[in-house]
Amino acid sequence: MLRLLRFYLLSFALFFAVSPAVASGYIEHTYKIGILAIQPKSNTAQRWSVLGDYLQKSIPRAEFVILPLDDVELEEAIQDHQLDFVLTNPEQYTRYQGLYGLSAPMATVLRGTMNHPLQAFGGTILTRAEMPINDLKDLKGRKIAVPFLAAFGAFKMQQYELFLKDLPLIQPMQVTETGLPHDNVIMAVLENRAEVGFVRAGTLERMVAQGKVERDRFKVINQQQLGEYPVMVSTHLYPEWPFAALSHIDQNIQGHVVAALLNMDKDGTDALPFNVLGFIPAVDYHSVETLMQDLRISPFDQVPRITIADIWNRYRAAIIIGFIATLLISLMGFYLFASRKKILNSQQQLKDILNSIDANVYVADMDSYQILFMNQHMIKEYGMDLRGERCWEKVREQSAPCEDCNNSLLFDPETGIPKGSDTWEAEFPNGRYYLMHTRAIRWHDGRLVRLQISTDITHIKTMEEELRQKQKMEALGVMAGGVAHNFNNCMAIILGNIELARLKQDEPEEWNKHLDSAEKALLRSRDLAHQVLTYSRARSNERKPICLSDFMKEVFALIKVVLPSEVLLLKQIEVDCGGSTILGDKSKIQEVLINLCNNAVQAMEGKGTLSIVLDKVNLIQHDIPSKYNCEPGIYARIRVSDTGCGIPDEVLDKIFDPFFTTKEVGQGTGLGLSTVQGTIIQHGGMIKVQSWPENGSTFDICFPLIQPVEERVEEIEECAFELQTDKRILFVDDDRALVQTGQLILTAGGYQVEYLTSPLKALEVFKEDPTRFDLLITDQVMPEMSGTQLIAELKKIRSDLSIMLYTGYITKVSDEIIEELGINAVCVKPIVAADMYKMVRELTRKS
Amino acid sequence: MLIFSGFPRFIVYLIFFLTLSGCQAPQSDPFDIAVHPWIGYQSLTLCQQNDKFVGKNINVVSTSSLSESAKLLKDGSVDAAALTLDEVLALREGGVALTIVLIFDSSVGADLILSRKSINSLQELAGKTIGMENSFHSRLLLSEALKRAGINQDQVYLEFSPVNHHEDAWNKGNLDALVTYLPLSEQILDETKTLFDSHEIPNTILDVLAVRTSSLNNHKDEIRYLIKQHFDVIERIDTNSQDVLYRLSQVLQMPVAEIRDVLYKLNIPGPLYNNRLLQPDSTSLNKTLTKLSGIMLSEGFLSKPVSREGLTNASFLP
Repeated sequence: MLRLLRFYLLSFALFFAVSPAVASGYIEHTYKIGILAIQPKSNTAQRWSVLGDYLQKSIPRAEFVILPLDDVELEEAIQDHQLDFVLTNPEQYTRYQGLYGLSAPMATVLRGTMNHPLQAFGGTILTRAEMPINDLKDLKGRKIAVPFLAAFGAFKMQQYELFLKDLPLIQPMQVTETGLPHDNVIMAVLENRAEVGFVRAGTLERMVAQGKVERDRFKVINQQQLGEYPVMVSTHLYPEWPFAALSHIDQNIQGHVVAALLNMDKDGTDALPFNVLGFIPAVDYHSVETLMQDLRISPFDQVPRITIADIWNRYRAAIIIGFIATLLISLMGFYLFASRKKILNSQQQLKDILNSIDANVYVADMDSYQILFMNQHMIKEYGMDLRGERCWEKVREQSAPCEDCNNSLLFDPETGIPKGSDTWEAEFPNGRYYLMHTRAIRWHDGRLVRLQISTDITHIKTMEEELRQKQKMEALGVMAGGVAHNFNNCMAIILGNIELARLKQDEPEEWNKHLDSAEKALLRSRDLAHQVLTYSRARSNERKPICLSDFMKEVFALIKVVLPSEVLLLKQIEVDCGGSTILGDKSKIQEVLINLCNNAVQAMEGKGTLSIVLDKVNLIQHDIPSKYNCEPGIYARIRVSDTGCGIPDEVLDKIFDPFFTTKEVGQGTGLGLSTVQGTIIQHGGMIKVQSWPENGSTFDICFPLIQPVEERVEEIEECAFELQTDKRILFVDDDRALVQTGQLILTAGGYQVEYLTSPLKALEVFKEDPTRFDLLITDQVMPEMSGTQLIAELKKIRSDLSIMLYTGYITKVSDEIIEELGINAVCVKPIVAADMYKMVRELTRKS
Repeated sequence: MLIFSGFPRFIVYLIFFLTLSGCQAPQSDPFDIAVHPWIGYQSLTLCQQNDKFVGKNINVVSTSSLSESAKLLKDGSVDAAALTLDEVLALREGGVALTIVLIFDSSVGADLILSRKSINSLQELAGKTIGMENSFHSRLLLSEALKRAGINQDQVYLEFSPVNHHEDAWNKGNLDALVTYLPLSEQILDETKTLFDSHEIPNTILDVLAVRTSSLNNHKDEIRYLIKQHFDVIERIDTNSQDVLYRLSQVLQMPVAEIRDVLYKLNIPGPLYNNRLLQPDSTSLNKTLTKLSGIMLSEGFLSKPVSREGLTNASFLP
């Protein structure tokens, strides 16, 4: 069927063929010249007939038939060897040569004019002058008009320019095929059927010359700088059409044809069509082949069969380098894998260690306070992972960065180098105590961050408190003997003077004298009891400014009452220590001194000289042992010296170690001096000891001084004694004798007093008429109901009732309860009448 | 457990080193090359026009003459220049360390001695006035011609003028002969006959790419790239001569036919032949250098024979 079609096509072509030699004589052979028709075939045949005539004339006894064929017909005719010679465009020639074995180019068409002969042609890319298309890049996505997709000078050359500049090629969907002639493309662009047109170079100039279009309606894109080339070109130039023979044509006739073609007059006398001047020796068509290879145009669209040997031969160096690189990368990959595993293991170990630490460990940014890391212990304690939150907000429950934040102390602001660890204790909002170690560390991204390790020491604090209390009790036990001795002395004085007063009832002067002596002994007993109670009372850890001279006087009074009579107490406060003030907890420092004094008494076996001196000392760095975190400067020093047995040199270094004791089993905990040292360190101070065996020891306690605080001296209002007969007092105490005495004293002061020994009864009486009393005076420790319980009940009934708690055991009621219940005054038994009147008058006046 | 210690660390260092060596810091100073409008050098101008040097750190500095290119190279304004071989020798004598990395072309007829039609042989030049450019390669051409004619140089009269004034000098009528080079005007060609040309002294008049020796190491990649681009253009002259000719006609503002004629008179060596010429033991180049330096020594432009050491370097050729 295909063959039949080809026959008809060739017959049709032969119908148009012109054979001028048929009638001229004897013909040995007829040669068919196939010419690619880019115009209507009848025109092409007619115009190219001059070539047939010329060859017929030049080569005797040979007939040359011109066959105009379209590209499909031409290829089929070549394939079937129905032609002898071919004149076609360079791309078609290269294709046919590759597929069907055409000869090398025999000659190349020369076009143009005598003044401008052209051996090469190019393609033009044009658009309307007003279009925003100025560069090859602008062709992307544009609608392109071409004569037909197979056109060499009007599509493929332009595609290759895009290829050379690494720009996207024109896709078939962008293309509108206008058909031949090329003029159609230009009209399509002009009539806005396409945005861009691809034509063979010279088309526009020809149409302008023919008056078909105006030149200034168009602009040429990517115009090449080609000197004297007469028309605008947008592509490289490629050689003109070649004339070639099919493989069955012998070289003899080829030689005749080439000679004839090259000898053809180029002055136009032979009048070849389409501006063809004639032929020149064949030029190189390699550039066309390169274009076709790069654009993968048939026959170069087949991927060649490539063997491993080809690859090896061509890319040997690259393969070897690639193999080595792959090997190295694989080894590196393996190494990185193993390293990563090690790092992950190491990371897990560190994480496990961090998470198993019984402390809160976290890292926070120093500028934003953002928490960057938390260990599991902390996450568990806070119930959530606080990473990303601000430390002051979530950890310390503050509304702004902590005032005592020590971030700035953790590194040198000039060099940015971390300084070291900062350690302190603090009570957190949750009521727990923490020991904190903070330091600046370099985070993985280079910034300085804060690392804090907070250990919960609440149970240690509790134990410390219990231990201190135990120490206190031990000290009290030691004191008890002295207290009892002094108390007994007072009792003897009171008893003796009461008996003497009874004997001297008729001598008022002597009687009063003995009563005064009894009263003094009583007050001394009261002060003694007060001192012991104060000492035994557990206090909070509150630190307040302490005026050391006043404080030492209290300490001297306390120590004096507990010292055995055979111990001489030497007290000394240096003159310049008058206003010396430290920040501390009075009760703890008192305990320190009591401890040291007890040890001294024991070292002296109850006989000797105890010296306590308060002075100031200038400490230099050399004086400060490394275990103390003290800065050089002026310190208050309390020196406690004894004349006891001293401490042997071999144990001198151990005496502050916990549980170290030289006493017999059961006589001491070994925690006394350890606690003393701990207390002093907590106060930012230090303790040093010197000892001379058999001659005594000296303990120096140093505390950092602070600026003295001016104490507000309350002016004691001296009021004239004034009877207040309209004031009614309810006096409740389970001790009938005491309550009766009180009733008598207050009645003598002009008050109306109702006394009761039962708090329940008192509650009933009060309920009957709550407005009846101006003041309630009550004991604390009573069998039916405690004084504070009674107060609470009465306050429910009448909240503005004035209350005086009159107790012999003040430690039973805390300051918080006193404040909560609204107790106006607390009096410690016994109290002298004058003080009682003053206090009652004050309270009743308020009511 | 440390699985790897020494060897992997070596690999790490090796890869690190290779990576670093592949990541050279971008060079801030471009590789400047001076080119004057001689057809043999225009491959570089075409590359520049076709954006082949964009992003490659290469800058073509257009000059008006050979002497301007030589001056820029001498004062360090450029790293390289397209020069004639004799200029390179003169600059080296003047203390400019230069290395030839490419031979653009050798003249095979582009340099010629023309005479009035009444003079029929070289021997007839005795006692005649000869116009010429005061350049070494012109002197070389004349020297060779006179040697063949058996005439001493003192038997002729020399009148020097730049090559672009040769037509005027010829038209004044004082000159009997002219040592010059293509392209020439039609008028001169019509009025003269060629007595001698460089075709008779092959591989003697050479155009080369000379690079300051100090720039060789800093611009290795640029030099290699530039030479490869030159050879690409040369290949296109063979495979698509029409396209290249028209582009040259634009650059040189000359008709295509004239350009084609000049190209016929030039031998443009490819990479292989370049490699052969630039080898230190190249007989051909050594012969040329001997001739050229002999003339330059006799004229006092060289104080001692030329040393081949460091004069050429073939390592940048593809």
